[in-house]
Amino acid sequence: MKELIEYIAKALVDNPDQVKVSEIEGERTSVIELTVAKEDLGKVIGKQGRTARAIRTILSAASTKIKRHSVLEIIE
Amino acid sequence: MEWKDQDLEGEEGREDEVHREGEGEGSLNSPEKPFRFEEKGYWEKSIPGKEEDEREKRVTWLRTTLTEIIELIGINAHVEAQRREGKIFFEIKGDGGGLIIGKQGQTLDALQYILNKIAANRYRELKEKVILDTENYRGRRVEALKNMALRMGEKVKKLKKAVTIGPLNPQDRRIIHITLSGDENVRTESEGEGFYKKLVITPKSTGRKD
Repeated sequence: MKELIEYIAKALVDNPDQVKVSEIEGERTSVIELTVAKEDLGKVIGKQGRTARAIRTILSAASTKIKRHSVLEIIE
Repeated sequence: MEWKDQDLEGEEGREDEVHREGEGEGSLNSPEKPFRFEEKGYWEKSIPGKEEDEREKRVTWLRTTLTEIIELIGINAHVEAQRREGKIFFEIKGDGGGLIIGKQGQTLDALQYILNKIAANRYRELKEKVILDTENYRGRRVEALKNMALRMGEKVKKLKKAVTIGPLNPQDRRIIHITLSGDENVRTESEGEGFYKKLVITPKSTGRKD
């Protein structure tokens, strides 16, 4: 899951070297925290949060595949 | 038709301790990355020239990026590129079944949205839209919506009562509106706020039922 979010985030931003992703694994749920450069925040969130919503939808599909639950937190 | 928000938002599963790990090694934005799949159809109408070379490079890079994302989701996929009416069209052939489509095409739409954002970020000059499809979902969806629109239109006329459908996304609503635009006896109207809206089909002769 971490690799998926990292790959997508790096492709969306201007500063891929500043993309940091950490994954906290719970029993059934994982929390994935995404940090990007301040000026790139808009790129991962998008207008009215549409980009963030799309990333969450993709993450949800990937989690379904392994029968788990994942939550994406974008750190501001 | 019921549609439920599957977004995994909220504070559920939140833990207090935060472990930071991984520095994100490896560069993503490498156009030299080798690609694995044969391109089909895309080259047929190719015209030689610098512009065309640039276009080929963009399509190759985008296809590789899409393939990578799908494989990171956990699906083995093969992506074919095609040229269609000035659009970059990718057909995903994978073993994911319905997973890549999602409820009401949500996952496919999310992938398409993200890929367009990625394309715009890397190629600022890119004018073409990227379209994704798998298992002919787009075509099947249009047919299903047309049939539903016609069926609901008949129901409205027969019962002389308004019928509400949805919520549907803008593209899906558009198909309903267009399908019923030729019918003089019904009127269609979107209702509500946001991306997903309901759609009301009203009989024209008796006016809007409140």
